[in-house]
Parts: sequence; structure tokens; C-alpha cells
Amino acid sequence: MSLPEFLGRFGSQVASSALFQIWSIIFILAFSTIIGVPLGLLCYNHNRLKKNLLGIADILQTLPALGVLGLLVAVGRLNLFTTFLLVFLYTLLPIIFGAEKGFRSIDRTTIDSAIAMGIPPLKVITRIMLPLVSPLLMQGIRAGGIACVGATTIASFNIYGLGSFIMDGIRLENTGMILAGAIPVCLMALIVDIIISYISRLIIPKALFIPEEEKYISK
Amino acid sequence: MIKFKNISKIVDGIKVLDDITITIPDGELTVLVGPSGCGKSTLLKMINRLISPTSGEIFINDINILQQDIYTLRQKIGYITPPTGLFNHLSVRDNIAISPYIESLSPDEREMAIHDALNIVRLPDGDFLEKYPYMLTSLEKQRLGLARAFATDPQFFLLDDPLATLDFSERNDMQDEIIGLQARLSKSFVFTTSSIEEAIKIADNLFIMDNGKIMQSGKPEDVLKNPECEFVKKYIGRNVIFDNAVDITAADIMLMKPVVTHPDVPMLKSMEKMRLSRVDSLLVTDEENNFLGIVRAEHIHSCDNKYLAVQSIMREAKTTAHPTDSIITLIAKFRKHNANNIPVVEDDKLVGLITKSTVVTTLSQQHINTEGVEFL
Repeated sequence: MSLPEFLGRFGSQVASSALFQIWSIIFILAFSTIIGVPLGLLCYNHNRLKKNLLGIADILQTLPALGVLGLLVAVGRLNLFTTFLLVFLYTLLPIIFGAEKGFRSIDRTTIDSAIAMGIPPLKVITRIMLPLVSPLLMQGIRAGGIACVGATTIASFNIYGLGSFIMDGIRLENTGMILAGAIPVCLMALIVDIIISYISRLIIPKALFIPEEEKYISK
Repeated sequence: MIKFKNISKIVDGIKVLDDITITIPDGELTVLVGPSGCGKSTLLKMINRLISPTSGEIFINDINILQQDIYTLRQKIGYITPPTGLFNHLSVRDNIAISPYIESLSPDEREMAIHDALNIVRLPDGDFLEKYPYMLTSLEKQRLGLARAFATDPQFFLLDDPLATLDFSERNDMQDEIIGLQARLSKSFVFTTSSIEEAIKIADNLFIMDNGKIMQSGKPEDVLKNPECEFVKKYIGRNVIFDNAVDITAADIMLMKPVVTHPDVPMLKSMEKMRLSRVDSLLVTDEENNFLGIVRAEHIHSCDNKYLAVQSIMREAKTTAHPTDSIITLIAKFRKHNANNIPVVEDDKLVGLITKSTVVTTLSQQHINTEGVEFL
């Protein structure tokens, strides 16, 4: 079956699967960012927590996502909750590490100077630390966003998402079905990347986007 | 007046500060100096409560700092760090204006405060206000760090090794500028540094620290004249001031790295070296640092073929000195040979150089009567 043929018959299903995945990505990415930044700050302050999280991230990055999914199926508890938990972990960890790396990149004297001016702690975080963290944090969010698209695709095998079109398409040797799953997924990854880099331009302070040529002018 | 009373600080079982009781007087430039890790910075940061002591109390004008509102306390104390303390994402204006004190002013007063602060440290305003820290030179960044503290008109300034990142000549300029600012504003400056030369140059009051303890304190001249313990003696090293001029030897005052040249170097290159080092003669030494003689600019000028090696016009030194020669012997040699400088030689090796002006400066620091010496 070719792609137009497949879309002609199952177009509405493809559209609803894609829509579901888009909403999942938006929801998971937003939620991961909201809890990832404070967790990054916690990691920055507590070395032990950072080591534990690094351990989890290491294991997750070593094991192929497909293998982890297989394990969850084998244990027999692959429901919506466990799949979402998996996707969530794959998205959250790069954001935590991006934030932690960002906080660590701030010179201690910068933070001391801010505190010594008598700026209250919350304002030190929002007006000094977060803007300085933003370049590395956005890199983490971008990595998390792309991981999220991949992980939601794999996780949607059993809930008739775009992933299941690819999987079943391969099994049934149905090219149209494979493409109906694969093309939207690839587009989503590209669009997530574009949207995040657009947001980066908006929120990262201008001074931290130093034009390359100016960086190397000796003074 | 800042009083530290029995201040101790223990971090992970290690005593960083050990029962320190000192008083920092008003209106003077006080320097805490010591090798890195001696606790000077920790002590400084306790004043604006960036670090809290494990035990002991701190009083500013006889009020315990713990009894004051922490934000009000900090706003009354200017804190100056190396330029890494600037907020890189904010413009020059916002780096100053983010202070809660400046924010509490009316817009007109705010502009005045920013303008005045930049003026004090001789920075321009106008377009400069919209620049970002990465566009500034290292000296401009340093001055902005000072301006930021001056803008809030505090009673005290804490300077936490602010010049550490500057190169030698910039550092010298900034030291002069800080001395001038302190004298002009007559406010209390508390300065930490690990450079004893810097400390001696700028301090009204000196506290020498090591291993969390105050080893010696007082006016710099007094400390230099009477080092009370081995550590201080070693730490101030060649900066020591002798009670008795006879005790001064050539080794104490000689320049350690005189400008030298090799006998086979052509005269043209030697001329260039003299020009760059701003001297009118070079000492000639071989590979093993054996002292061979002197070449003078006037001798090179009178020679036609400047591609010849300096060996051909090298002269023997009028006289040489031994490192253990006393300053009296040196003065006698200067007078007898009418020399401007004397190489210091030990076992045929060149170890240093004494110039006439070094001797004069040394003697003027000793506050001794030079009449009998018949030198000047």
C-alpha cells in the first residue's frame, strides 16, 4: 500500500495519533522543565544527589530505549503510567543536567557579589542566576525535547500511536503505513528543535549571545 | 569600627579560623594578608555575613551584626571582588542599578547615583552605560566593580583580593587608584591580598595571617622593622627594613634579574635589547652565568661595524661587589669608582646588580642620618 492510499483509508487515525503525541510532548516537556530547573539547582547544591541522578542517566543512556521497553513489557506492567514514566525520565534528565551545568558555570564571586548587595535570595535566583544559566539550560531543554519525541514514539507502540504504525508497517511490509508513522515523527523532531531555538533567542539575554567575531578581538 | 571577638570557624573538622580577636579602625585602609588558604577571605566575608562564624561575635560600631537586618547590613557595606563578580548578562547601567538601594531611589536620584559612581572611578557615562561587561577592557571592568560598590555610598568597603586577575602594570595603577580613592573618601577599606608587596604598598594597617591565626599586626613600617616570628620574617622576605644600616648587605637590595647578553650576540641586537629594557648598559655573561664584563651604549655608538659581536667592545667592570658586602662598602665603591651600577658577583657567577638609585632609595627608607656617609 502506498502512502496516499494508506492516508486515504486511515488518515483520521494518523491525525489523531499525531495530535495525541504532540500534546504528550508539550505536556511532558513543560512539566520536565518546571521540575528540572529546581532539581538542577538542588544537584548544584548537593553533590550526592547529582551522583545518584548521573548514575540513572548513565544506565538509561547505555540501555537502548527499545530494550528498556521490552523489559517493561516482559514484566507485564506496560500501561500508560509506566510508558509515560519512561518518556518522562528520558526527557527530564538532560534538562536537569543542562540546568546543573549552567549553575556550575556561574562564578562563585558573581553570586557572592549579588548576595552581598543585599539582594534577597529569590531575586538572586530569578534576576542573576537564571539569566546566566539560560544558555546551557536551553541546550538541555533542546536535548530533552528531541529525546522526548523519540521516547514518545517508542512508548506509543501499544497504544496505537505513530510508533505502532511504524512497527506494524514493518511487520506487514506496508510502506505507506511505515511512512505514515515515520514522516510525522521526523517532522515533529525538526519542529521541536526549531521552536526551542526560537524560544532560546527570546529568553537568553542579548549579552550572552556574543557574536563569534567579537569574542576573539583582543583588547 | 569593626570588632572581631574570639572568632573561630571550623569546616569539616578543620580549623579555618582560630580564636581571632582584632579591631579594624575607621577611616583607614586595613589589609589582611597571608598565603592562600590562610583564612583572610573567610574572615572578610564574615563582616557582611556571607559566611557565619562557628563561634565568636562581630561588632560594627559596637552593634552585634547578628542583631541587624541582614539585607540592611549588606546594603551598608560595599563588596568588591575581581571582575568575575560582574553580572555578564546586564549592561553597565543595570550592573549598578540592580542593587536594592539604587532601586529604592527615584528615577532622577538613580541616574545621579550611577553618574556619580562612574565619575568617582573615572569611567565615562553616556554610551558607556549601555555596554556589556564583555565589551570592556580589564581595567574598565575593575573600575566598574568599584563603581558598583561606591554607588550605594556605604560606610565600609570590603575588597576581596580585587586585583588578583590584573597584570603587573595594571595592578600597580589600580593600587595607586585605590590608595587615592580611600584617601579622598576617607572611608574604611578592608582589603585582602596574598601579595605582601601589594599589602605593604597600600596598607595603613597590616594584619599578617597564617593557618587561621593572626601572626602579627600593626603599621607596615613597624611590621617590616620588627618581624615578631619566623613565619613573618620569611613571609616579608626582602621587604624587611633594617634597624641598623650596617646590617644591609648587597644581597638584600640587589636587583635579582639584571639585563644580560651573551658575548657572541651582535651589537645591533644588544642595542635593541637596551632600548626595550630602558637601560644604557648590558652585563655580559656566558652560558654558565659567569660574569665577563659590561657593554655600554656609548661604546657601541662609537663602533663602525655594528654586526660584530659585543665581545669585541666589551669592557671589564670598574668594580664588582660580593653579596655579603655591607651597604657602607657599596657606598665606598660607588664613590671610589664613580660608577652608576655595580654587578654583584659570587664565585665568578653574576647574581645581581646594584644601582646607585637602589642605594639611595634604601637609605631613605631607613630614616637614618646619612650625613656622615659623604655620598650624596
